[in-house]
Amino acid sequence: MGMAVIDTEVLRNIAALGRPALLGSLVDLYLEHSRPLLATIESAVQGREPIGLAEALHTLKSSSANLGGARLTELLRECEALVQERGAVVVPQLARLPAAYHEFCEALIRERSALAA
Amino acid sequence: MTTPDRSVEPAPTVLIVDDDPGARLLLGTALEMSGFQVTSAADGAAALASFRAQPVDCIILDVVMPGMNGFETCTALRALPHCHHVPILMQTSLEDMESVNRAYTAGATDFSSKGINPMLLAQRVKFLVRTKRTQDQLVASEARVRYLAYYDPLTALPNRQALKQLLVDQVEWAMLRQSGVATLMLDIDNFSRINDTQGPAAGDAVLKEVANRLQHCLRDCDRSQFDAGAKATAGVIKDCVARTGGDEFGLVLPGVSTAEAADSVARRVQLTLARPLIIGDQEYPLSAAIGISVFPLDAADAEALINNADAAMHHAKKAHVGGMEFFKKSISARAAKRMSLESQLRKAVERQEFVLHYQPRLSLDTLQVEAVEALLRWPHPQRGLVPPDEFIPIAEQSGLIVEIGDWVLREACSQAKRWHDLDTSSWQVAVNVSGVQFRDGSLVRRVEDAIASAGIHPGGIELEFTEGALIEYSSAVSKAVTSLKELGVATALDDFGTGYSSMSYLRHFPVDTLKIDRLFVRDIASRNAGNAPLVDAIIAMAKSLGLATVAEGVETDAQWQYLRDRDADQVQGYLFCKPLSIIDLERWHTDWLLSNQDRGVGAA
Repeated sequence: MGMAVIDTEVLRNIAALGRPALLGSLVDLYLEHSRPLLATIESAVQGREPIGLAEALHTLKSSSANLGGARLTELLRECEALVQERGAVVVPQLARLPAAYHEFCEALIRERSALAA
Repeated sequence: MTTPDRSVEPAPTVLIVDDDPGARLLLGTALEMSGFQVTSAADGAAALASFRAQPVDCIILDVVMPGMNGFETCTALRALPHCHHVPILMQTSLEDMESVNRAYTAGATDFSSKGINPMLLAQRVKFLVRTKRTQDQLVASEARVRYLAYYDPLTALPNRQALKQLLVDQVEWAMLRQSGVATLMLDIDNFSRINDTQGPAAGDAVLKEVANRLQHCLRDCDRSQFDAGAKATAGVIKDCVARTGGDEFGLVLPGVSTAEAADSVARRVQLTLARPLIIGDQEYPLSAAIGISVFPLDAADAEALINNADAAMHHAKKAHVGGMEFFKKSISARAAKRMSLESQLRKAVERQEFVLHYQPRLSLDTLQVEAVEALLRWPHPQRGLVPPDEFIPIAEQSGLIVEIGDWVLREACSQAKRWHDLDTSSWQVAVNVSGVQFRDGSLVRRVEDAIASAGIHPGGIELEFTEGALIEYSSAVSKAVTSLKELGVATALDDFGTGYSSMSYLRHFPVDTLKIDRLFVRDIASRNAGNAPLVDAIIAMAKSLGLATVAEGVETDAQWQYLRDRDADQVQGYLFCKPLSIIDLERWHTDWLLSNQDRGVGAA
């Protein structure tokens, strides 16, 4: 798992759009909308209830990819594929999600402060 | 990033459909940077509402969304008006072939994977929109070409070509439903005078106003004439006005299948046009000649319908110059039939399709054949024998009769010679001459030529002409008859009694024989023989003038007896023999001689 937490090229592409406030807004939006998605995933795993799991995984994957969350996106992609394949919530990779998510969020917050400085 | 066409083309619009607000913001920003005007929607339902309210040039659609998914949204969008050809780019996962296939099946134009560099995506969208615009321009220029080919730019009405196309469809429609379709062709009276005196701008204004009035002429009341079947398919039938030429217009009225219905529309058109037309401070009197043809009464296809209506219109124009022109019923059919027959007649002359039949004239005393009347027959290659009273008037009106008459003369003279050479009979051959043949003064020379080249005695030929010819071309006929008499050619006045039957005429025209018309002969022997005194008088008068008499159309023994009692000279008619071909006539003659021998009347 040699993937970077953040693919800096994605951030550079965003910066290239020439709107200094854009990255800050995107990070805010991500933090705001991704938390309920992670909550959905966690409760699905705990309750062994697959309702909404696949959708939450997919949406979180897309959002994370947009901000260059390479490692998290890859993990989410694996989870999504396995859930789809086995039709079950018992997937070991799911247990690794919260840590990867928090790691990415912290990296984003760092990037945002670096930009604001 | 400004492109040269940015100033003329409005900014392209794009709709982003994604439930992820971050994705909407990122993509929206990238697209705005690329010159797009962006709207966005968080789900399928919002996307549909947005497009309905404000259609866009391109749509970017996410697949996984709450509520309707991207595929369902795509299908629903495609069903919206104006969304059929809008490029839709679906954001699928590249690794998922199945969703790519589903995207296309749902009607997507293109796909891209999520997370792609937003500026690249914006370029891709730009490319899609430009391709679409190029296509649109192509379609628009095609439509323009089509418009110019089928529409008149001045009045915005369909042109003649379009009218014809439309009529083809309407005839097909009428045929399927056993209904009709009327075509009216209309020509503005004295239009060139307006154009010449008031200038082309005034002329154009008149044409536009006529176009406008004609369009208002076609109202619901016309549709009341449609039958029930037509009403059920009201979407198919549509009255149409077209500008078919400079000052000519055409109307197609589907479902109008009778001359009466077409007549009422034509009258309404006349009334509408007759309203005073004021352009500037000038008042223009308006009227038009209208020609009408009705399918299936007057023609069997679109082209013939237009031609017939055109012919009728020209006929109407000729009949009343200027002023209000009322439409002429069924002229169209007559004119077209006439035109077609005339062209076939021309071909018949070229191909020498004519033949002569002969009907014997017998001496009332001896019942010997003394003369035969040559009668023109036209065995049409498709129609069979065409009745002479159908084609001879056309031959006369077109002047073809001169050439045909010449052929008849030569053929009759040659036949007289053949019979003379056979030595069995030296029959005089009677040839009918039309008044038209007297017109150019060459008839006598032509007769001389025919006699000379056949090598017959001039007295072997008799020329028959009618009272009508005598009256219409009196001086030419008078001169010709005198010359023919000098030449030694016999002459006869045909159909005597039907015209003026004036004694004074007969003094001016030194004919040898009077032929009493079949009309008078018909009822001479019946109980209420109204015409008998007239026949008596004609015979008596002829005798006093030293003229021979021939009774035509003798069909009964009683008629024959009556004429014999009155001392007429010759009889001709079905009682003895109908007009026959040469072979049949000769065969008949052989039999006739034998049966006369049996009756003991043959020796004279």
